[in-house]
Amino acid sequence: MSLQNVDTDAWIARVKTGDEAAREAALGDAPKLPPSAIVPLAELMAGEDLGAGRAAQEGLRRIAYASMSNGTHEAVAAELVKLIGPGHPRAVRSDALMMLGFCGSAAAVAPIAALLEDADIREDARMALERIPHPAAARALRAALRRVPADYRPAIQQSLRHKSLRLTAVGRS
Amino acid sequence: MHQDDRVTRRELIGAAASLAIPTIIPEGVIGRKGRPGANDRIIFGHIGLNGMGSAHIVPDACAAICDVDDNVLARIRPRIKGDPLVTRDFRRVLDRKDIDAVTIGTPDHWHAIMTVMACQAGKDVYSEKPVCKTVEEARAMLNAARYHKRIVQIGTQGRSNSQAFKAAEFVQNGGIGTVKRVDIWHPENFKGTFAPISAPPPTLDWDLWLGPARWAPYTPDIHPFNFRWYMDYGEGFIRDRGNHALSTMNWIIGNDDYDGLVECEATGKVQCDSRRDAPYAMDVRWYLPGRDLTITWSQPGVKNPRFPGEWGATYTGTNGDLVVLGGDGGCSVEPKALQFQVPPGGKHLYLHPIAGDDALQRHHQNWYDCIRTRKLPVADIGIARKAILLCIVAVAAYKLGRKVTFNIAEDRFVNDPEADRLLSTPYRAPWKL
Repeated sequence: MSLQNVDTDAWIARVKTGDEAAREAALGDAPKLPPSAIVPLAELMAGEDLGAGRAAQEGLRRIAYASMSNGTHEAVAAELVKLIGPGHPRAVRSDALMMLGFCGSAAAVAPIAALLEDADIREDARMALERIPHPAAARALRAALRRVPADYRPAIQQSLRHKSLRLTAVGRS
Repeated sequence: MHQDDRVTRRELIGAAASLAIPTIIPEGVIGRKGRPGANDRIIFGHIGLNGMGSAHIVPDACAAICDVDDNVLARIRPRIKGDPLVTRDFRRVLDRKDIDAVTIGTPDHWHAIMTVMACQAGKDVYSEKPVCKTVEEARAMLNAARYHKRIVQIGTQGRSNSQAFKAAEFVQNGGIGTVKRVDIWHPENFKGTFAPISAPPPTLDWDLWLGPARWAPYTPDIHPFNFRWYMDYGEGFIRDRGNHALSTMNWIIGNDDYDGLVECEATGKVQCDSRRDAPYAMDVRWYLPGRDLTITWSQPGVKNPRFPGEWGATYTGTNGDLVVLGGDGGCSVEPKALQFQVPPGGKHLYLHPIAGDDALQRHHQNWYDCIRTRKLPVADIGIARKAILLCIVAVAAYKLGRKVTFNIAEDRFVNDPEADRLLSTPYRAPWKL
């Protein structure tokens, strides 16, 4: 699949028209947007135009979900990491972390793990690390046990337990 | 052993099956030892009381009612006899030693955890559909039921519908030959607008409503009812009514034992003038190579002109076709199936006997009776899991935007580590399976 088929500015212009049919068509092209579209789409998602923002949110998700298949997941994850810091709206951070849980790998682990001490978003960060299968995610969770407040350690342990649980054993305890 | 493995037991159950409520017996007849005896009264706890949750209430055998919404509790409390526990927290219901069984009528994202915890607490369970959200949850529910030897009935009452039963006997006795296709049509999801984000009302425990789902701000568009149209909770009609449709389909075509591969492709349209992010219209195609069977789901799809209805399915075989409307408690089938009589030596299926013909009442009675007999109910979690897996796989295919192949026996996608990341969903603490 060619990733450079769709121009980001042109795509954003389509969703800003307010026309539902145009937005629907634009979303069909969203998997072909380049990773560099992620930050502009996040800005649109956080903007005052709720309809365009919703389209941008959906576009972000489609870029992320398509990234593993089309080989852009490392680049996409690098862009998503730019959205998880405290300078972004919570909804953007939460969605970015959810998508990093899906397409993130070792390179995304450290910036996500840094958020385990941010009480506002730490659950979303923990859940992302829980989903990332790379061993670095489990190491980061174990390391976090020494840093996080004592009352948050059970949550970290919950993630580590889930990572180690075999499917045949789940629900039996 | 499932009841439909045997010749009908109607003549054996007799008068006992005509009861629509659990038999009330003098106190202290038989000790429980973890389950009611044949003459014991079943005591219920009811969790999640909105919508269908309220339909499962047994008012004169209820020790506890539970909902995170005080307004719902206030509405339901007058129906209950005696002095039940009234609580927002389902764990207090599960702690009660006097409760034998619980019904779960909460939003979908809670079904798995509550079912597993209820089994671990020694309760039998009636959980509403859809069964659950993920492959892991479906496996956890099955594991918990079997390990703790609990009776778990899922609320796919199409399995107790007399017309669906006739369709199943007709099809499984060769009424349309070998089934090659099932084409399901269904209306689009309910659309919404941008409802405001606000503080939750003080009567609602929003944190507990969210439970295992990631934190999200409250909006009155989510609770009640419309959580169905959000990916974090309901994922749309494909898992909601789709669970009904596919469960009834599996019964009709005798597909409950299928443990092979499922290939699936799915597309969907989303609404951008609302926060509802589940695709409002999906087109799904499944192919089961082990049966050479194609199944489609279309929203809105095309009603079969011969036997039109709001939603339904056309079953196409090598020797004809059959239309079945609905798939939940309300099903209608064409006269050729309704009038079908199983020939000598033919295959008889099982329909739990009751007086009257109310599918939900029959589904309840089947569960009550199985609590006593410890036989698996007609929508046992083992059966129900097969249907919901089709829905879950469809959502995965939609998210990934490509074809996926899933192995039912192994609970994994085939050579697809990307899709395998969708096998489970991490939970907010402290909730876990």
